[in-house]
Amino acid sequence: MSRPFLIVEGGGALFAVDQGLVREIVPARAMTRLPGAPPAVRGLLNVRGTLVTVIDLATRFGQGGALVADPSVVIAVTEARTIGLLVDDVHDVLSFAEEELLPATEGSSDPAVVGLGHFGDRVVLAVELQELARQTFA
Amino acid sequence: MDSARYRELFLTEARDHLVSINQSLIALEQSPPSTVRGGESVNELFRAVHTVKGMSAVMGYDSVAALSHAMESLLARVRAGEQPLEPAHLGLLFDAADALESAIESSSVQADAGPASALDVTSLVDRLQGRSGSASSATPLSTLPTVRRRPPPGSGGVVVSVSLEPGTILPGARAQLVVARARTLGAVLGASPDEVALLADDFDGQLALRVATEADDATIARTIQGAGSVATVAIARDPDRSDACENAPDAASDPSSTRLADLPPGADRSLLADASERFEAAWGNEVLKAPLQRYVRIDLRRLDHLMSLVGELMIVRGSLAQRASAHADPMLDDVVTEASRLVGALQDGVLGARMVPVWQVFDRFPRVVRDAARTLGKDVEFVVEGREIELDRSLLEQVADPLVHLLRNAVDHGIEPPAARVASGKPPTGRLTLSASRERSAVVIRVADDGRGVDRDRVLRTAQAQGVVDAEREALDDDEILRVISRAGFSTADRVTDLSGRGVGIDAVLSRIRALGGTVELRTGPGTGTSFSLRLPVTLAVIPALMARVGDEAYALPLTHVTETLQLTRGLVRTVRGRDVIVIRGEVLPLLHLRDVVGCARGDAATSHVVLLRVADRTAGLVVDQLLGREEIVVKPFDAVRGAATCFNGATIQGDGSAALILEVSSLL
Repeated sequence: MSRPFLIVEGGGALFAVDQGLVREIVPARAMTRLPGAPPAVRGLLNVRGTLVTVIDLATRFGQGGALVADPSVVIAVTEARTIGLLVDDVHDVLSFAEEELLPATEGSSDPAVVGLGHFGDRVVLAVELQELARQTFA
Repeated sequence: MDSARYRELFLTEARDHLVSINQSLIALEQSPPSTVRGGESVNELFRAVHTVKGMSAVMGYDSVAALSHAMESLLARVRAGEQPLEPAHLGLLFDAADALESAIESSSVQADAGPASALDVTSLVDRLQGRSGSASSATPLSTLPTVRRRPPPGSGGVVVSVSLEPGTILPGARAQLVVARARTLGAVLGASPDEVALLADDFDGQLALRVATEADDATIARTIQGAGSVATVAIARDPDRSDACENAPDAASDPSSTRLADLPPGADRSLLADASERFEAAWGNEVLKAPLQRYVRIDLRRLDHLMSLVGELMIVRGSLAQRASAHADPMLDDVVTEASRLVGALQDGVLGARMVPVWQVFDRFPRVVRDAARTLGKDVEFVVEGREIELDRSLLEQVADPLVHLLRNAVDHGIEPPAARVASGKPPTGRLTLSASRERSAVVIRVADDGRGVDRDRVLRTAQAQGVVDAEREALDDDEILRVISRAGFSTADRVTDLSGRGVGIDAVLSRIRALGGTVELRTGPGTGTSFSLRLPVTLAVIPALMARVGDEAYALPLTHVTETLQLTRGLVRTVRGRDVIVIRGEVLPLLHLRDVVGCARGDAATSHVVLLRVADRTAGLVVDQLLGREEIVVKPFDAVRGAATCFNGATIQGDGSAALILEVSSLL
């Protein structure tokens, strides 16, 4: 059984997130820094009156790399919590079967990583959004 | 009837009626039914109980219906003068009101758990009906004339004879359900006993109906059985001769219908001719129609949604005004000004819709105080002032528990026993006042007693023994007393009572009020009494705030905690034991830097300001780079992020669409 994933790019790396949880993609406007939060948490973004916590995927998964000038935020809803993913670009929707995803060798201890897949000749890190949200919020 | 649809409505209405039942009972305790006021109280009580009975019978909440029916029966006899109301009866009615409350609350949770919960109320019902218990042994309750079994009046149709299961709780209400179900088959041409007699205490569970229906016997039986608790259904199709009619006495001369006079004035006799119409009366007239005349009940979530839309509109208004000013077009400016005014009015309107008068919660308290006073053997006159003052509904709900605690505390520890009061030259009856008043942008709720006051020496000694106050201190002021007694686990009570004195409470009160953005003030004098003043924001949704800037970030400081602001000059800051302090009018206050709080390097901004913040008795100075001015801000919650500073739980959206964090002052100090 295969699931549709949204392929996004951040800091030169590719990520796949469950398309079913994605609500919309908005331009990244000014965000409000949350004092004390981990570096991957970029702050609060006002999405039509609702404050969404935005996470920089590249920083979170150690892919470093500076973001481009015009980033986007992928808004996803998991377990009644809304989370924003700061990305450089949004590519395509791809379906992966469970068996197509290879176990990640590095960072495999991170339960937020489902596995590795292929997008053309590039490697994609499949991210479990529920787990990411659980790790982010208190 | 789709009971799920009405369940919430039932609960809300029933709770309102419970409040008035308790109020009437307390009034009755003060003036007997023979007086004008007491007579009115009996009538009010009767009406409330009667309405609850009608509503619960319709909903199929048997235990609620049984209890309210038993209460109603007792009250009916009191109204008719057949039964003197003795203190034992009042006690019984108070108990019944409590049982009614728990029956109402549990019935709405598990609507189908009728028989199980009904068992719990049976003994109370018996006592109310005078079958056992102390009230009846002294004065046997009057017995009612026996109803003779008769065939249903009228002619034609199908005669359906129904026996209810022996031991059915509230057979009258069940029989009414039978009548209602029969009506779904066709017109009910007659009933024996008549519909009013069904409600009599001696109704034996046997009834016969004449129904104009084409349905076959099986359908009729099934439909009637659907009412529940039906033992047998017998169906006879021979059209009765008109002699049955002659035998059936006119309802007005029927001995069993003398009870008609006991029905409340609002219940039209003609309506009672048919059971299902009577059901309509219970719902239609008293429950559904009356509130629609002026008030509607609105789900708070809808108001919250409106509030958040208005909040967004306020933000759009801000950016619209900003952009319009760039165009220098007077026509455009006029339109923007007008739109601005309308948005402001809309915000006031939506905020106003969230406001409710404090009596909606305060009216529960006379009963609380009465019960506490009785338990402790105190004489207390309870006075409520400012009932009409309005407060945001969600706030009001949340101060209810702290107020109950303060009231019980006042009865327990504040007001002395009558003998002690007389000995110290006071009237034997203590006075407990609960008042609400508006003070600028806050509402102050005060609980004041004229009791013995807090024993300062004792608090001081206990505090010194616990090591929270220096041993050489000789006196504590009111703020220090509040701080000491609000420490978790602190108690000076000689004995632990059921009501208070366990050393928990004042700290819970304080933390709740602070969480709501409010403050608590204590004033106490030996022998003259103690008062607690709770100062609360009028609403949680929109709060006045002082906007401040550090670096390039804006933060909101709720004005309820801001006492003053001043320019930071070199001479003001001292260092004591490595910590910055500020000396204001001879008082040394700790000095915090917002830059430290938000993890910003301390620059040497030339224009630093100090904002003096106060939560209860704690005051501190907060250094900010710049003050941006006062604003009415809309509070937006956000999910707490792991590791982030805990003194930010909400934010507000500014004119440019970005968010500014709101500093929760109480968690900072």
